Formats: sequence, structure tokens, C-alpha cells
Amino acid sequence: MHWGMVVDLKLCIGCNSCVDACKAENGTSPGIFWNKVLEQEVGTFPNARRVFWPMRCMHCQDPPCKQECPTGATYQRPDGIVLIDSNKCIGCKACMVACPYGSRDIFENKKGYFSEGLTPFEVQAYAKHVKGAVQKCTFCSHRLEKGLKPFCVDNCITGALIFGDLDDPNSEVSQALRAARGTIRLKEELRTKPSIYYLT
Amino acid sequence: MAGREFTVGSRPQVVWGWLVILDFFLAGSGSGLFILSLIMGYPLGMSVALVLVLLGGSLLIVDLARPTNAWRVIMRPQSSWLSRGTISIMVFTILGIVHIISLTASAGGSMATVTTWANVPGWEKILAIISGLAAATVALYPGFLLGSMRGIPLWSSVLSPALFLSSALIAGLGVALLLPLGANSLRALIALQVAGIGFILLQFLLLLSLLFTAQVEATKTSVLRLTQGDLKTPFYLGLLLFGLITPLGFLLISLATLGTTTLPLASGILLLIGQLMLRHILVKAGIFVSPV
Repeated sequence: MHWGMVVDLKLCIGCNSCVDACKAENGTSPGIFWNKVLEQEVGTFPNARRVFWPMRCMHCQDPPCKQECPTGATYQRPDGIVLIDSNKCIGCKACMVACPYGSRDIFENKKGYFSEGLTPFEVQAYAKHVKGAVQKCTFCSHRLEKGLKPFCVDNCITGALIFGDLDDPNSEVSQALRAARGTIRLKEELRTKPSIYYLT
Repeated sequence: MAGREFTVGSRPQVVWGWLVILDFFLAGSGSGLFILSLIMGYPLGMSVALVLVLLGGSLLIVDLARPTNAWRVIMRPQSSWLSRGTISIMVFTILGIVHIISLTASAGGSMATVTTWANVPGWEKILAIISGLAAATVALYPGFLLGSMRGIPLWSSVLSPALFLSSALIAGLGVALLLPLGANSLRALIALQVAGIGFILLQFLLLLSLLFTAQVEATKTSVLRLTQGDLKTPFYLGLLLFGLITPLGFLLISLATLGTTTLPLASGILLLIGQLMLRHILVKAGIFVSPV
């Protein structure tokens, strides 16, 4: 089994629903985004347009973050998901520098979004995060255990995000890749072997 | 176009800052000083070197977001350059202490004496070689650490370890020029100054290679920051003029005149400033290549 994701760039409209969904599900603090949508302007006037690139941890098959982690806090499951054992993390940030995709953040500031203090949701959410430890997208592994998809995928309003088992030829992701007009993985020349494919 | 947080484009490395820069500088100075002191048989230099390396290591612990877990840093030497570097510092410290004690004893208890290697027993020479290799690892590992960062092309070059080794030797030499060399001081001072000229010229070559072999967009952006952007003052003034060219001139004059200690002292201080600037600009100039 190899969990992976396919992002259809022609369907992504840059609404950031996936970003909001991730924040709601994982309770990340201000300034920390496990999910981001990057805007790119292509072409020149009068034929300029924007392309939106949903970005998260690529769950690489040769993850540079795991290579550089001195404590073994960053590890990879047999199903391909790269996770962080926060209790082992020393906050050296070597993994943050090693990641070519900017997918990692460090939870250092327990401030909430509102000046009146932490909301009940934030109190509950921050309890799951270890102060001083690096954190990132987990492909919602806690939802996968229940047979659910990552929350960003469920909340994508255009169906641009497809999730499944890349090793299963009948999965949605495998079918999407077979039917694809063009497929890329980001920064393949860095030999990271990302588990996220983009349909161009 | 340089990327802001939510637009496609390259972005500067801002994760590692001054504490890491100072650690690299102190550990580099210490390891370079140790290697030079080893060659000279100079226990005082080796002792100062140990203090510098340990001071640098302490700053690294302070920089950790979870320092109480710091002991875990040695757990992955099979892949992590941070693990390897920490282990090399530990080995270097132990071997260095043993070597300093034995060399001081051989020199009749005087740490400030430069010992001739002819007087040193065989087993101590072996210890010297091993501790020298440990010091070289400490000098090199930051270059390999940065060199392993695939997303920053300025760093992931064969030049990184070479630059860090040259920097360690120059900074170590800078410290050595500030220390009292005791007996045999004139010969040692001449040797240091000749070595300094060689190291400075080597670093010039390495810097030129870095500037003129930039191929990838992110590396070109880094080079532009050094030569025309926000890092041009530390690069031109801090590193090139005050850190390399001026001390090079001082060393040449000092050698030609076999003069006073003033010029070597001034060179030492300027060399240290220059190498601190080098590590500062290398860390700050790192640019992540655009992911798209």
C-alpha cells in the first residue's frame, strides 16, 4: 500500500477550502499552514492567467527530512506516509531546511487567532501539538485509520484533490493517473520521489 | 520573481539564524586552531580550540526549540550530518583533552611552548593523527551539512565543504596569531603567516568559483544578493576587504619586514571578522529553489 494524492490543476480554482479544512481539522496555530495554495501567473497580457498549486507535505519516498533528522523523530510508515514523533523532536529545524517544498513548520507560539485568548477549540487543538516540535501534513492519518479521506480532499469543492492507494490499480488515484493528459511531480530532479502528482 | 509565502517562486532560507552562524564560526575556528596547534605541538592553542568548539556546541543547544531532548541528536549518524557532527565533536573533545595533557607533560608542563615533533614519542604521534582527523571532521561537517540540503543549490555544491574547511583554517590561524607562542615563537609565527597567505589565496579561488559557477536560478539570486543586494556590505567590506585583502597585505608586510607583533595581531583580528562574515553570508544567502 502506498498512499498518494493527485491534484488536477485544471480543476483547482484557488478557493483555499483545503487550507481552511486542514486548519479546522488539525487546529494549527496562526502562521502555520500544513496546506497552502501557491499562485502562479503564467503567460503575458492579454493572455495571462493564474495557476493554483495546492501544496502540502509530499510524503516523499526518499524524504530529505528523514535523512537529515538527527533523532529519528521523522520516520516513514510502510504505507509511505512520513510522520513526526513529536516526543523525539529536538527542534533543530534541520528538516525544515532540508525540505525543498517548504512543507514544515515549528510550533513555538501558543497564541491563538483572537486577542481575547485561546478559544475552546484552540485549547483542545493545541493540546495535541508539542511546543518546540516541528509539524506538518500527516495525510490525516487519524482519519485514514477510520476509513476516511484527508479532510482537505473531502472539502475540495471542485474535486481537484484525489486521494488513494497508488499501488492499487483500481483506486481513484491510479485511474486518474492513467487517464491523465500530462502528469508531473514537483522537483523530481532532487530525487525525493514525491507521492503527490499534479495533472497539468 | 522571488516568491512570497503564497506565490510561486524562490524564497530565502530564514530558518537558521545567528546562533547557528555563531556555532559554525566558533566550531570552525576551534577545529582549525586545533589542527594548526597540532602541527606546531602547541598545547595552549589546542586548549583554546577545545573551549571554542564547546562554546559553539553550547550555542547550538541554546538554539534548539526543545533543548531537554538534546541528547537525542546523536541517534542517526547513518544519515544525519547533525548526528555525525555532534559525535565528531564528542570524539574530538575526548581525544583533544588526552592529547593536550600528554603533550603538556612532554613539554615539561608548559602549555605555551611550541614543541618539536622529534621529541614526541610514537604513540603520541598516533594520538595526534587521530585527534587531528577528528578536528578535521568538526571543521568539515558544517559544509557537508549544508551541502546535503537538496533544496538550496548555493549550498548543495562540492564547494561547501571546501569553503568551510578553508574558513576553519583561516579562523583558527586568526586565533593563533592572537596567542602567545612562547619558545620557538618566531619560527612558528613565520610558519603561521606563510600558511595564512596560502589559505587566503585558496579561499579567494573558492569564492570566485562560487560566484562564477552559479547555474540555477536560485543560486544566481543568492550571488546577486552577495554582489548587489542586501548582503553586499558584509560581502565586500566584511569579508573581502577587511577579512581577506587587508590581512593578506599585513601578513605580506610582516613577513617581508620580520617586524613587530602589531601586524600579525591586526591580521588575526581581521581574519576572524572576515570568517564570521563568510559564515553569516553563506547561511543567509541560501535560497530555496522554487518548488514549481
